[in-house]
Amino acid sequence: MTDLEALQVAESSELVDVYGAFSSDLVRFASVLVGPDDAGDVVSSAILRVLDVGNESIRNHRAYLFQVVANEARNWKRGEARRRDREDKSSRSSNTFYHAEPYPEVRKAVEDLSVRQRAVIYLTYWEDLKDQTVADHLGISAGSVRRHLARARKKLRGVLDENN
Amino acid sequence: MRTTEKEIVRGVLGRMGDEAPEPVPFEDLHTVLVQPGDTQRNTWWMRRPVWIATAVAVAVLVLGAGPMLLTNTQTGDVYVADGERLISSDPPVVQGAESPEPAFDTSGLGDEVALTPVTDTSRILETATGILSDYPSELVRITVLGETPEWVLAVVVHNEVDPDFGGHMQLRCLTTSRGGATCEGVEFENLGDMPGGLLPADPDSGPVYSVGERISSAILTWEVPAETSVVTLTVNGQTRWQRPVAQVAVFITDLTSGDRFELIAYDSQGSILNSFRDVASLIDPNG
Repeated sequence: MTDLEALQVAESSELVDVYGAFSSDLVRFASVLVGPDDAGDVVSSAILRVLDVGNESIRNHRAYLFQVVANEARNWKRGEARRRDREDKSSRSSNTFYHAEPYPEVRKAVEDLSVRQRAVIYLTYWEDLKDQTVADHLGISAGSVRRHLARARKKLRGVLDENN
Repeated sequence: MRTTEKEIVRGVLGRMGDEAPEPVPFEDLHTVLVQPGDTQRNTWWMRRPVWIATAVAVAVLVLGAGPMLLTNTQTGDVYVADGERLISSDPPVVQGAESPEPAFDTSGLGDEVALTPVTDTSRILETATGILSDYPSELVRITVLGETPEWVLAVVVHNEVDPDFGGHMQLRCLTTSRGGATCEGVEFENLGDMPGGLLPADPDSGPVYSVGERISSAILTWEVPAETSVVTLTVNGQTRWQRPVAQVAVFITDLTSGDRFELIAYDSQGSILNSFRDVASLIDPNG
């Protein structure tokens, strides 16, 4: 089945409603993970991946979609061609962005975190989720969440100290 | 993290999120992925080669396994166990001890996937350096498992002091010479009772079987009891075998979703010590 055919079948399914409910959150999450230029592609790819494997047994759609988007973002980052393209885009957008960013060093430090660390930071500090809920959203253990969080904080702390 | 720092980070995350584009309507999702020049259609079978190219590090966080005797704290000398061979003291690198020689007939076990002892550890050191730079920590020791025709494999042990996490951790990373990735995201707490876990090359890419047991499509690693002489891997009825080194068996595999596989650890007399059998799957929708 092609992507288009899968979408046509899925249009009558629950996934359409689920996507409608969470698409803004997912794109925002993806944008933090891979940047705004690639966020739409990552989310689209993630949704199509869900179509590939089916979604009948999913208990928590929001958590699952966040998990798939996070995984997709990690895979996205690994693509060499995409990486070069992203870096080009990043360097272009960064020049524009840093004029408006009140904490450009912190922004740079956040962008330098690994995708997983950034996801944990985002879900913890932006979504205000507890460790276990973050873990559910990323498909990892709560202990791993705490370790990623600790490592991310460690990396950010040096920059934050300079800003305080 | 102090409140003000949290607010700063939250503000940065908020601005990053605000840059997000408008979501694409569901019915238009397909069009996003068929832009001219777009090569990504992320079905698992297309992603798998990427996993192979990037599957360069496997790590297991050793919790509760007790301190490992790796160096003499009095002299700083590298501890060399029976059967190991010291390659370098600075950094500490040893060739791991080979498993006991099998005293039974292995001819019926298929092809041997030998881990050949190596002396040139430069590629492993390069990868280990990448791991250590990602996780600021102290290299304790590298135990080289050996070489296959395309891979050099080693276990990198490093200590990490993470005050935010509450103390000292020791990480063991099964590390390969290919690629330049790090152990990022590969730590997990519950590997089950060691030895005997399946370690992931990348827990996000590989299928998940149960808590602490994950498998990569590229690298299949099994830590086995010391008395293990031979480990066999059977995938879809085809068997290979290996003498583990440093109690670790490593198979570079091309497992794909739906493949049936089985690992068996034998002692030198051919008695089964441990086994693991499953059907490879790609993702667990419920994580």
